[in-house]
Amino acid sequence: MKFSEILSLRIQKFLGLLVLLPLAGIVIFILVVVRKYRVENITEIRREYHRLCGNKVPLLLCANHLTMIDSMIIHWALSGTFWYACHYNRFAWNLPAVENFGSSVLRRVTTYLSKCILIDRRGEKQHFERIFRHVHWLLNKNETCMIFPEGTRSRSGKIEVENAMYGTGQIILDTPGCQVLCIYLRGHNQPGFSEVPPKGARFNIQLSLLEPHSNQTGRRAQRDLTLQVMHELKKMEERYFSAAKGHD
Amino acid sequence: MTEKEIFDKVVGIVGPHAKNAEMLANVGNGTTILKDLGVNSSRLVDIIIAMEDQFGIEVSDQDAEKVNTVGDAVVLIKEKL
Repeated sequence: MKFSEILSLRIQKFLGLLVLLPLAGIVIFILVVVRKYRVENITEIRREYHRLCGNKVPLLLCANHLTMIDSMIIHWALSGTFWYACHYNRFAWNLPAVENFGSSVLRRVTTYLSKCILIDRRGEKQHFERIFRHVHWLLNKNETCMIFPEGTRSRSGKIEVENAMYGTGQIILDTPGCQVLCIYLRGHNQPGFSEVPPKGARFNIQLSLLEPHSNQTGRRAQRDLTLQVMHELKKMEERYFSAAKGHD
Repeated sequence: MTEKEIFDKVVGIVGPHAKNAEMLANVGNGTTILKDLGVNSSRLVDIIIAMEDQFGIEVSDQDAEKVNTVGDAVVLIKEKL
């Protein structure tokens, strides 16, 4: 990777760390006090994430996608702000779509300071190559990265394996030894996709660690690895709904 | 296999992934797969894999990059058969 690209990522990380405490404070205030959100198993989730961060291997977070603020909720659920301040490499880099988060200066600045790399889904091949190069470099520098393998919020409200975006498999393929932490996040009163979860939402989060491996090569490996992640997310979704049914 | 047969088979492979039904109904050799038919890049990967499986050919990354239109796919397959 070019020196200028490395420098720009390092500067972004440094500036993000400088504003982490006030920025996270504002976000958590909005999530907890204004929106009254709760993650029901937050202690176990944080304990598990901290334990997994002890493995000195590249860690890619792959989550289902239902609302525009999923990544905020996931960051909040995975750890507390002070832990992130001490382990800032474990505050995951995220790849939001430029059409959603690049629309105003305020959004661009906040995403930049939150370790986001904006992705243009209609971009040219060179744009995607650059993004993959950055993610590959970051993962190998022990930085956690997060991606939504569905590429967009699920219109049906459920994991749609057939709509998977194979960039996930490309990242895994480019990063030997990469572990994938599948994250299934769902508010109990979240029937389908939306901008933000309803006020007072209670979230359930499941984590599952995968070490995807494929005997295939090239584009077939890309697809195979992505589908392994998607099938795991689908299994987690089925577990969520069968547990929810059991509570009814 | 004639060019027409290859074309029909390619349209059969691309069809389920096309988001633009109107363009699909009037599909021709010059129809672009990504822009005109609204296929995304991951589904294009599925299309190339399906072409490999159905025609028994191997498509390199370099060849795959040249496939912009339905006609490009037909020409590529014809060359490989």
